[in-house]
Amino acid sequence: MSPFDRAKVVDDLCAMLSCKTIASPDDATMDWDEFARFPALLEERFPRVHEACVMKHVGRTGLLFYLAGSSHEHASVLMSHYDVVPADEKRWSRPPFEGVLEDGFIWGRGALDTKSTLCAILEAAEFLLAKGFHPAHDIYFSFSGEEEIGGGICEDIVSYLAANDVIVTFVLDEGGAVVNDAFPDIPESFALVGVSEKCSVNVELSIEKSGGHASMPPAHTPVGQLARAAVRIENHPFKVQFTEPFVAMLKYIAAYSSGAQKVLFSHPQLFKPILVHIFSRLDEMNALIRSTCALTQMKGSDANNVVPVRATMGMNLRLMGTDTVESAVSHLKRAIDDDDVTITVLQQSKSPYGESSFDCPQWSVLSEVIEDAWPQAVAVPYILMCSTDSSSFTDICAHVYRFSAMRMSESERGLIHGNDERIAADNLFETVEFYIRLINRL
Amino acid sequence: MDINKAQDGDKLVITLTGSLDTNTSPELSEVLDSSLTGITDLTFDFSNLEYLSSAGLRVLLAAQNTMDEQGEMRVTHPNEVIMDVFTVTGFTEIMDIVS
Repeated sequence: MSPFDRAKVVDDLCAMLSCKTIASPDDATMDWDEFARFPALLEERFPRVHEACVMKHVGRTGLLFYLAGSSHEHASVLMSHYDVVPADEKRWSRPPFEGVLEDGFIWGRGALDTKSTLCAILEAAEFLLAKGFHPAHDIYFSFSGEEEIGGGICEDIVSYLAANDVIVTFVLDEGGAVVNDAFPDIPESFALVGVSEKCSVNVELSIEKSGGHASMPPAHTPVGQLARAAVRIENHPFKVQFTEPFVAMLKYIAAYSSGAQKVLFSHPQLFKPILVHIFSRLDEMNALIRSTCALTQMKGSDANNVVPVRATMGMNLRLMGTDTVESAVSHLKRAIDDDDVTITVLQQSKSPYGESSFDCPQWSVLSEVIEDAWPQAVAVPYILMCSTDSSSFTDICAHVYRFSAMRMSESERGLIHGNDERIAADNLFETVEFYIRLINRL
Repeated sequence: MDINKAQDGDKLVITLTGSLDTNTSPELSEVLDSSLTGITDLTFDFSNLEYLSSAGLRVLLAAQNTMDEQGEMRVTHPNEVIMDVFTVTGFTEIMDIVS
């Protein structure tokens, strides 16, 4: 591993975690002092980066660092974000906004999602610049402070790059990770690299009726009708789609499988009915083969003895493949089969255009660097189930990859947006090493 | 940049001359906004286009998005420099580009 200063890396991430950069859809509750403190902290901690790069503030929270290369013909973009979701401090065993190092782990909101990658990018750049590094091509470090609320900062950054005629050939943002427990009975580690991502859509179902006293209820109240709609939706999942990345992922994994699993994964189209039967029963795998719908909210009247005038049900859709917002709404209408139910699309993330290639020089470089940094891991394409800022970049570049460059166990994946979020210091060092190797190749 | 439109029923050929960049892409965007209704076959003729920037790529992708819903789109006769832009950005993988 490269001889970077490990104590500095830990110290820097702890300092970043102590900034309470909690993103909120309500501007009034954003702590702008904390958001102002973060770039100031970066300037103090990464002097060589700030000396070598041109730093531009984009919008309210965007930070764009430009590191000029020997050639300006095209550029790469390394992305991250420094805003975080709130933390319920009472449910944490360590304070979420102090950046605590204990027993080899760094604790704090954002330790995994994703001040760690932001820190690692800058540590790698600082280390390389200290050694006199000069990149072959232009590199941008693009950091948003509004990713968690779907802010438009990255749209603004893409507009800025387009306005300055920057040709972007490679983009890397948060996404999959190095996992060793994702597939049963396979001991190898896989680095899951998102070549596309699902489109997140918030939908509300509502019914309005006359309401009334609960002593003389109609046969079906708005709440009852919505409950029936909920059951129908859950009984009518979206159609199965074996996308190109999914088929490729199975084939990559087949090489490390044995027995029946090897046969099934090697020929996914041939054994599609069997695979669908198996995967539909596993939540993570099911989400890889179809769009999903999670029913998340329900509201009726405020009192037990009042039939509501209006009842609502909220849900979050994650769309993939050929499914669009329009086709998804049609699917819901057919499934619900009740003209009293109104379907309203409340919000949707930007849908990425297409899938990034995993047969191109950019993929080759990325997978080689991954396999150098984690020699026991194999880079595998897949479709990310979350939405990221990187979708904005698909407007100007078709090589957009989503990979949170760190080892992550199933239990660690559960800490993202949860309580006691933390990263092992050794894992953070591997992330820095990954970015040192990657930046050297750009 | 000059934009020349030739429509034959539901087929539209747009010939661009000059440079499709930050300054000129809004103009093309406006033309597309008002021209694509009912079009099922769209061709961009790049024979006379000298330069393409990322702002131009963005407009082309927006047109591709529209045509994905309506029919087909292709880009024809890009010069070597423009073809290189399509290649390094990966647009050759998502658009029909005919040399």
